[in-house]
Amino acid sequence: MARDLAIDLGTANTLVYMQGRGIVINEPSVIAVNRRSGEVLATGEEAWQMIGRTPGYIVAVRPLRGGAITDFEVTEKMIRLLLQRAGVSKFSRPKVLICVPSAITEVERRAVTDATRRAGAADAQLLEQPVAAAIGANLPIDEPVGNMVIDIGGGTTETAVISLGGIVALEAVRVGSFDIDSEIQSFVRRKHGIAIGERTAEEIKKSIGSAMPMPGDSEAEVRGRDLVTGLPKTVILTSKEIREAIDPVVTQMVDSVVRCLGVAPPELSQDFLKRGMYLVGGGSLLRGMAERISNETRVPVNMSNEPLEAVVLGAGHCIENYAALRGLFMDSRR
Amino acid sequence: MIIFAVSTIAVFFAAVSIVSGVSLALLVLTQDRSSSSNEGMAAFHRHLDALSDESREHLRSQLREAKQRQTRG
Repeated sequence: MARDLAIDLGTANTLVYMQGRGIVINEPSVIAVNRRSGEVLATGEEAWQMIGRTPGYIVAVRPLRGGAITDFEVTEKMIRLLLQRAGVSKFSRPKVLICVPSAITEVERRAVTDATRRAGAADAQLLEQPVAAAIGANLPIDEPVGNMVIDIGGGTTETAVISLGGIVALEAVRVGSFDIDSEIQSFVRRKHGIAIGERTAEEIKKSIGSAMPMPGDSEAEVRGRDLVTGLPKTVILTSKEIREAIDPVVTQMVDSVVRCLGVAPPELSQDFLKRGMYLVGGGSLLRGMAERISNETRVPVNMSNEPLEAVVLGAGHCIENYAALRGLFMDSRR
Repeated sequence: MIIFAVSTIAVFFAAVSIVSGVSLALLVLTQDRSSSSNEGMAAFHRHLDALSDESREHLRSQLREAKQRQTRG
Protein backbone atom coordinates (compact mmCIF):
# COMPACT_ATOMS: atom_id res chain seq x y z
CA MET A 1 0.00 0.00 0.00
CA ALA A 2 1.26 3.50 -0.84
CA ARG A 3 2.54 5.64 1.99
CA ASP A 4 1.22 9.20 1.82
CA LEU A 5 3.73 11.98 1.23
CA ALA A 6 4.23 15.59 2.31
CA ILE A 7 6.40 17.80 0.10
CA ASP A 8 7.90 21.17 0.99
CA LEU A 9 8.37 22.54 -2.52
CA GLY A 10 10.58 25.45 -1.65
CA THR A 11 12.37 27.92 -3.89
CA ALA A 12 15.70 26.87 -2.38
CA ASN A 13 15.23 23.32 -1.10
CA THR A 14 12.78 20.48 -1.55
CA LEU A 15 12.03 18.12 1.33
CA VAL A 16 9.85 15.03 1.23
CA TYR A 17 8.24 13.40 4.29
CA MET A 18 6.94 9.85 4.00
CA GLN A 19 4.11 8.69 6.27
CA GLY A 20 5.52 6.58 9.10
CA ARG A 21 9.13 7.09 7.99
CA GLY A 22 9.93 10.79 8.36
CA ILE A 23 12.04 12.93 6.02
CA VAL A 24 13.28 10.82 3.11
CA ILE A 25 14.51 13.51 0.66
CA ASN A 26 16.21 16.83 1.45
CA GLU A 27 17.99 18.53 -1.43
CA PRO A 28 18.23 21.79 -3.42
CA SER A 29 15.29 22.55 -5.75
CA VAL A 30 17.39 22.38 -8.88
CA ILE A 31 17.00 20.30 -12.00
CA ALA A 32 19.38 19.89 -14.94
CA VAL A 33 17.71 19.24 -18.28
CA ASN A 34 19.09 18.44 -21.74
CA ARG A 35 17.59 21.17 -23.92
CA ARG A 36 17.83 19.09 -27.10
CA SER A 37 16.08 15.95 -25.87
CA GLY A 38 14.16 17.34 -22.89
CA GLU A 39 15.67 14.57 -20.72
CA VAL A 40 16.35 15.17 -17.04
CA LEU A 41 20.08 14.76 -16.41
CA ALA A 42 20.32 15.48 -12.69
CA THR A 43 18.34 16.80 -9.75
CA GLY A 44 19.10 18.10 -6.28
CA GLU A 45 22.69 18.40 -5.07
CA GLU A 46 24.18 17.11 -8.35
CA ALA A 47 22.19 19.62 -10.42
CA TRP A 48 23.05 22.42 -7.94
CA GLN A 49 26.76 21.79 -8.57
CA MET A 50 26.07 22.35 -12.29
CA ILE A 51 24.51 25.85 -11.95
CA GLY A 52 26.47 28.31 -14.09
CA ARG A 53 28.87 25.59 -15.25
CA THR A 54 26.93 23.78 -17.97
CA PRO A 55 27.56 23.56 -21.71
CA GLY A 56 25.03 25.31 -23.95
CA TYR A 57 22.71 22.33 -24.44
CA ILE A 58 22.30 21.64 -20.70
CA VAL A 59 20.33 23.97 -18.47
CA ALA A 60 20.48 23.70 -14.68
CA VAL A 61 17.62 25.73 -13.26
CA ARG A 62 15.53 26.34 -10.19
CA PRO A 63 11.96 25.82 -11.43
CA LEU A 64 10.58 28.05 -8.68
CA ARG A 65 11.32 31.73 -8.21
CA GLY A 66 9.76 33.95 -5.59
CA GLY A 67 7.73 30.94 -4.45
CA ALA A 68 6.12 30.83 -7.89
CA ILE A 69 6.49 28.25 -10.61
CA THR A 70 8.47 29.85 -13.40
CA ASP A 71 8.69 26.73 -15.51
CA PHE A 72 5.65 24.50 -15.33
CA GLU A 73 7.07 21.64 -17.43
CA VAL A 74 10.29 21.43 -15.44
CA THR A 75 8.37 21.57 -12.14
CA GLU A 76 6.20 18.68 -13.28
CA LYS A 77 9.31 16.69 -14.19
CA MET A 78 10.81 17.43 -10.79
CA ILE A 79 7.65 16.36 -8.91
CA ARG A 80 7.44 13.19 -11.02
CA LEU A 81 11.04 12.30 -10.14
CA LEU A 82 10.49 13.02 -6.45
CA LEU A 83 7.42 10.75 -6.39
CA GLN A 84 9.30 8.01 -8.27
CA ARG A 85 12.14 8.18 -5.77
CA ALA A 86 9.58 7.93 -2.97
CA GLY A 87 8.27 4.69 -4.50
CA VAL A 88 5.19 5.95 -6.32
CA SER A 89 4.14 3.75 -9.25
CA LYS A 90 1.00 2.93 -11.25
CA PHE A 91 0.01 0.43 -8.58
CA SER A 92 0.92 2.56 -5.58
CA ARG A 93 -0.63 6.00 -5.70
CA PRO A 94 -0.38 7.96 -2.44
CA LYS A 95 -2.13 11.09 -1.26
CA VAL A 96 0.30 14.01 -1.50
CA LEU A 97 0.25 17.19 0.56
CA ILE A 98 2.32 20.02 -0.87
CA CYS A 99 3.42 23.07 1.11
CA VAL A 100 3.23 26.24 -0.94
CA PRO A 101 3.59 29.97 -0.19
CA SER A 102 0.35 31.54 0.98
CA ALA A 103 0.66 34.22 -1.70
CA ILE A 104 0.27 31.61 -4.44
CA THR A 105 -2.21 32.56 -7.16
CA GLU A 106 -5.16 30.45 -8.30
CA VAL A 107 -3.32 29.58 -11.53
CA GLU A 108 -0.18 28.49 -9.66
CA ARG A 109 -2.30 26.50 -7.21
CA ARG A 110 -3.94 24.62 -10.04
CA ALA A 111 -0.57 24.13 -11.75
CA VAL A 112 0.93 22.47 -8.66
CA THR A 113 -2.02 20.16 -7.97
CA ASP A 114 -2.37 19.20 -11.66
CA ALA A 115 1.36 18.48 -11.91
CA THR A 116 1.23 16.32 -8.77
CA ARG A 117 -1.81 14.35 -9.93
CA ARG A 118 -0.27 13.82 -13.35
CA ALA A 119 2.92 12.66 -11.65
CA GLY A 120 1.00 9.78 -10.04
CA ALA A 121 -0.64 11.07 -6.86
CA ALA A 122 -4.11 9.74 -6.00
CA ASP A 123 -4.97 13.08 -4.44
CA ALA A 124 -3.05 16.36 -4.20
CA GLN A 125 -3.76 18.91 -1.47
CA LEU A 126 -2.02 22.20 -0.67
CA LEU A 127 -1.07 23.64 2.69
CA GLU A 128 0.27 27.13 3.38
CA GLN A 129 3.92 27.08 4.47
CA PRO A 130 3.49 29.22 7.63
CA VAL A 131 0.75 26.90 8.93
CA ALA A 132 2.96 23.86 8.37
CA ALA A 133 5.88 25.74 9.95
CA ALA A 134 3.85 26.52 13.08
CA ILE A 135 2.94 22.85 13.48
CA GLY A 136 6.52 21.75 12.76
CA ALA A 137 7.96 24.28 15.20
CA ASN A 138 5.80 22.61 17.84
CA LEU A 139 3.85 25.77 18.71
CA PRO A 140 0.67 25.25 20.79
CA ILE A 141 -1.65 26.24 17.94
CA ASP A 142 -4.50 24.14 19.34
CA GLU A 143 -4.85 26.57 22.26
CA PRO A 144 -6.70 29.91 22.25
CA VAL A 145 -3.45 31.89 22.30
CA GLY A 146 -1.70 33.89 19.61
CA ASN A 147 1.17 32.06 17.91
CA MET A 148 3.15 34.13 15.45
CA VAL A 149 5.44 32.43 12.99
CA ILE A 150 7.73 34.11 10.45
CA ASP A 151 8.91 31.90 7.59
CA ILE A 152 11.75 33.44 5.58
CA GLY A 153 12.28 31.23 2.58
CA GLY A 154 14.29 31.49 -0.62
CA GLY A 155 11.65 33.46 -2.48
CA THR A 156 9.03 34.56 0.05
CA THR A 157 8.68 35.91 3.56
CA GLU A 158 5.45 34.92 5.26
CA THR A 159 4.18 35.89 8.66
CA ALA A 160 1.12 34.23 10.15
CA VAL A 161 -0.80 34.50 13.38
CA ILE A 162 -2.39 31.20 14.30
CA SER A 163 -4.79 30.44 17.13
CA LEU A 164 -7.21 27.56 17.81
CA GLY A 165 -5.94 25.59 14.84
CA GLY A 166 -6.59 28.26 12.22
CA ILE A 167 -5.05 31.34 10.59
CA VAL A 168 -6.04 34.63 12.21
CA ALA A 169 -3.79 36.98 10.22
CA LEU A 170 -1.42 36.46 7.34
CA GLU A 171 1.04 38.67 5.52
CA ALA A 172 3.28 37.55 2.67
CA VAL A 173 5.80 39.27 0.43
CA ARG A 174 7.60 37.78 -2.52
CA VAL A 175 11.00 38.64 -1.13
CA GLY A 176 13.36 36.02 0.27
CA SER A 177 16.97 35.06 0.76
CA PHE A 178 17.58 34.74 -3.01
CA ASP A 179 16.78 38.45 -3.27
CA ILE A 180 19.54 39.06 -0.74
CA ASP A 181 21.92 37.06 -2.97
CA SER A 182 20.97 39.07 -6.05
CA GLU A 183 21.43 42.35 -4.13
CA ILE A 184 24.95 41.17 -3.28
CA GLN A 185 25.59 40.32 -6.95
CA SER A 186 24.40 43.78 -8.09
CA PHE A 187 26.41 45.53 -5.37
CA VAL A 188 29.67 43.75 -6.27
CA ARG A 189 29.06 44.51 -9.95
CA ARG A 190 28.27 48.20 -9.26
CA LYS A 191 30.89 48.95 -6.62
CA HIS A 192 33.81 46.71 -7.60
CA GLY A 193 33.10 46.14 -11.29
CA ILE A 194 33.22 42.35 -11.10
CA ALA A 195 30.63 39.73 -11.95
CA ILE A 196 29.99 36.89 -9.51
CA GLY A 197 27.65 33.91 -9.73
CA GLU A 198 24.68 33.21 -7.46
CA ARG A 199 26.54 30.50 -5.55
CA THR A 200 29.37 32.92 -4.74
CA ALA A 201 26.83 35.53 -3.63
CA GLU A 202 25.22 32.95 -1.33
CA GLU A 203 28.62 32.11 0.18
CA ILE A 204 29.29 35.82 0.80
CA LYS A 205 25.91 36.15 2.53
CA LYS A 206 26.60 33.14 4.75
CA SER A 207 30.13 34.18 5.68
CA ILE A 208 29.89 37.96 6.20
CA GLY A 209 26.24 38.95 5.63
CA SER A 210 24.14 40.28 8.50
CA ALA A 211 20.86 42.11 9.06
CA MET A 212 22.33 44.46 11.69
CA PRO A 213 25.78 45.24 13.16
CA MET A 214 27.01 42.17 15.02
CA PRO A 215 30.10 41.40 17.07
CA GLY A 216 32.76 39.68 14.99
CA ASP A 217 32.03 41.48 11.71
CA SER A 218 34.69 40.46 9.23
CA GLU A 219 35.93 40.58 5.64
CA ALA A 220 35.88 38.15 2.75
CA GLU A 221 38.07 37.73 -0.30
CA VAL A 222 35.92 37.31 -3.39
CA ARG A 223 36.93 36.24 -6.85
CA GLY A 224 34.95 37.16 -9.95
CA ARG A 225 35.26 38.28 -13.57
CA ASP A 226 36.34 41.87 -14.21
CA LEU A 227 33.60 43.50 -16.27
CA VAL A 228 36.08 45.70 -18.17
CA THR A 229 39.00 43.38 -18.89
CA GLY A 230 37.15 40.06 -18.68
CA LEU A 231 39.99 38.68 -16.53
CA PRO A 232 39.61 37.04 -13.11
CA LYS A 233 39.89 39.59 -10.30
CA THR A 234 39.93 39.41 -6.48
CA VAL A 235 38.33 42.02 -4.20
CA ILE A 236 37.87 42.32 -0.43
CA LEU A 237 34.33 42.82 0.87
CA THR A 238 33.41 43.90 4.41
CA SER A 239 30.42 42.95 6.55
CA LYS A 240 29.40 46.62 6.72
CA GLU A 241 29.17 47.15 2.97
CA ILE A 242 27.28 43.87 2.47
CA ARG A 243 24.88 44.85 5.27
CA GLU A 244 24.21 48.19 3.57
CA ALA A 245 23.74 46.51 0.19
CA ILE A 246 21.15 44.02 1.45
CA ASP A 247 19.36 46.45 3.74
CA PRO A 248 16.49 47.29 1.30
CA VAL A 249 15.55 43.59 1.10
CA VAL A 250 15.85 43.02 4.86
CA THR A 251 13.72 46.13 5.45
CA GLN A 252 10.96 44.73 3.20
CA MET A 253 10.99 41.50 5.21
CA VAL A 254 10.80 43.32 8.56
CA ASP A 255 8.05 45.64 7.24
CA SER A 256 5.87 42.64 6.36
CA VAL A 257 6.21 41.35 9.94
CA VAL A 258 5.20 44.79 11.23
CA ARG A 259 2.15 44.82 8.91
CA CYS A 260 1.07 41.40 10.20
CA LEU A 261 1.36 42.62 13.79
CA GLY A 262 -0.79 45.58 12.77
CA VAL A 263 -3.67 43.44 11.56
CA ALA A 264 -3.60 40.91 14.41
CA PRO A 265 -6.44 41.24 16.96
CA PRO A 266 -5.35 43.16 20.09
CA GLU A 267 -6.13 40.22 22.40
CA LEU A 268 -3.50 38.18 20.62
CA SER A 269 -0.92 41.01 20.63
CA GLN A 270 -0.57 40.49 24.38
CA ASP A 271 0.34 36.86 23.74
CA PHE A 272 3.11 37.86 21.31
CA LEU A 273 4.68 40.12 23.91
CA LYS A 274 4.56 37.33 26.48
CA ARG A 275 5.52 34.38 24.27
CA GLY A 276 7.42 36.02 21.41
CA MET A 277 7.43 35.26 17.69
CA TYR A 278 9.06 32.21 16.06
CA LEU A 279 11.44 32.42 13.16
CA VAL A 280 11.78 29.53 10.67
CA GLY A 281 13.13 29.04 7.14
CA GLY A 282 16.61 29.28 5.67
CA GLY A 283 16.48 33.10 5.55
CA SER A 284 16.17 33.21 9.33
CA LEU A 285 19.77 31.96 9.53
CA LEU A 286 21.07 35.34 8.30
CA ARG A 287 23.11 36.71 11.20
CA GLY A 288 21.27 39.36 13.20
CA MET A 289 17.89 38.71 11.57
CA ALA A 290 16.12 37.75 14.83
CA GLU A 291 17.70 40.73 16.63
CA ARG A 292 16.69 43.14 13.84
CA ILE A 293 13.05 41.99 13.87
CA SER A 294 12.97 42.10 17.66
CA ASN A 295 14.47 45.63 17.72
CA GLU A 296 11.99 47.01 15.21
CA THR A 297 8.87 45.35 16.60
CA ARG A 298 9.81 45.37 20.30
CA VAL A 299 8.58 41.77 20.48
CA PRO A 300 10.89 38.91 21.52
CA VAL A 301 11.92 36.64 18.65
CA ASN A 302 12.73 32.94 19.14
CA MET A 303 14.58 30.79 16.66
CA SER A 304 12.95 27.46 15.80
CA ASN A 305 15.03 24.37 16.66
CA GLU A 306 14.87 23.09 13.10
CA PRO A 307 14.34 26.15 10.88
CA LEU A 308 14.97 24.27 7.63
CA GLU A 309 12.83 21.23 8.41
CA ALA A 310 9.93 22.79 10.35
CA VAL A 311 7.66 23.13 7.29
CA VAL A 312 7.98 19.55 6.06
CA LEU A 313 7.71 18.15 9.60
CA GLY A 314 4.50 20.12 10.12
CA ALA A 315 3.12 18.89 6.81
CA GLY A 316 4.20 15.38 7.81
CA HIS A 317 2.11 15.68 10.96
CA CYS A 318 -0.88 16.62 8.77
CA ILE A 319 -0.25 13.52 6.64
CA GLU A 320 -0.19 11.34 9.76
CA ASN A 321 -3.56 12.90 10.81
CA TYR A 322 -4.98 13.43 7.33
CA ALA A 323 -8.70 13.15 8.09
CA ALA A 324 -8.66 15.23 11.28
CA LEU A 325 -6.55 18.05 9.82
CA ARG A 326 -8.16 18.21 6.38
CA GLY A 327 -9.76 21.50 7.38
CA LEU A 328 -6.34 23.15 7.29
CA PHE A 329 -5.79 22.41 3.59
CA MET A 330 -6.24 25.28 1.14
CA ASP A 331 -9.00 23.74 -0.99
CA SER A 332 -11.21 22.84 1.96
CA ARG A 333 -11.21 26.43 3.25
CA ARG A 334 -12.35 27.99 -0.01
CA MET B 1 -74.25 8.40 -2.33
CA ILE B 2 -71.48 5.82 -2.88
CA ILE B 3 -69.48 8.26 -4.98
CA PHE B 4 -69.78 10.89 -2.25
CA ALA B 5 -68.57 8.39 0.43
CA VAL B 6 -65.60 7.26 -1.70
CA SER B 7 -64.51 10.82 -2.46
CA THR B 8 -64.73 11.72 1.27
CA ILE B 9 -62.54 8.74 2.15
CA ALA B 10 -60.11 9.68 -0.64
CA VAL B 11 -59.91 13.25 0.62
CA PHE B 12 -59.41 11.99 4.17
CA PHE B 13 -56.57 9.66 3.17
CA ALA B 14 -55.01 12.35 0.99
CA ALA B 15 -55.05 14.79 3.93
CA VAL B 16 -53.58 12.14 6.26
CA SER B 17 -50.78 11.34 3.78
CA ILE B 18 -49.98 15.04 3.27
CA VAL B 19 -49.83 15.69 7.03
CA SER B 20 -47.69 12.61 7.69
CA GLY B 21 -45.41 13.48 4.73
CA VAL B 22 -44.84 17.02 6.01
CA SER B 23 -44.26 15.73 9.58
CA LEU B 24 -41.75 13.18 8.29
CA ALA B 25 -39.94 15.84 6.27
CA LEU B 26 -39.80 18.16 9.29
CA LEU B 27 -38.52 15.33 11.45
CA VAL B 28 -35.76 14.47 8.96
CA LEU B 29 -34.74 18.13 8.57
CA THR B 30 -34.54 18.68 12.34
CA GLN B 31 -32.58 15.46 12.74
CA ASP B 32 -30.14 16.48 9.96
CA ARG B 33 -29.62 19.92 11.45
CA SER B 34 -28.89 18.64 14.95
CA SER B 35 -26.62 15.87 13.70
CA SER B 36 -24.70 18.26 11.40
CA SER B 37 -24.16 20.73 14.25
CA ASN B 38 -22.94 17.86 16.44
CA GLU B 39 -20.76 16.63 13.61
CA GLY B 40 -19.26 20.11 13.20
CA MET B 41 -18.45 20.29 16.89
CA ALA B 42 -16.92 16.81 16.86
CA ALA B 43 -14.84 17.63 13.77
CA PHE B 44 -13.57 20.84 15.38
CA HIS B 45 -12.51 18.91 18.50
CA ARG B 46 -10.88 16.18 16.41
CA HIS B 47 -9.00 18.96 14.57
CA LEU B 48 -7.76 20.50 17.83
CA ASP B 49 -6.92 17.07 19.30
CA ALA B 50 -4.81 16.30 16.23
CA LEU B 51 -2.82 19.49 16.92
CA SER B 52 -2.47 18.88 20.64
CA ASP B 53 0.76 18.37 22.50
CA GLU B 54 0.13 14.64 22.99
CA SER B 55 -0.60 13.99 19.32
CA ARG B 56 2.61 15.77 18.35
CA GLU B 57 4.82 13.48 20.44
CA HIS B 58 6.20 11.78 17.29
CA LEU B 59 7.01 15.23 15.89
CA ARG B 60 9.01 16.10 18.98
CA SER B 61 10.93 12.84 18.73
CA GLN B 62 11.75 13.65 15.09
CA LEU B 63 12.95 17.11 16.14
CA ARG B 64 15.14 15.48 18.81
CA GLU B 65 16.55 13.06 16.22
CA ALA B 66 17.25 15.91 13.79
CA LYS B 67 19.04 17.83 16.54
CA GLN B 68 21.12 14.76 17.44
CA ARG B 69 22.02 14.28 13.75
CA GLN B 70 23.08 17.93 13.61
CA THR B 71 25.16 17.63 16.79
CA ARG B 72 26.89 14.52 15.46
CA GLY B 73 27.43 16.22 12.08
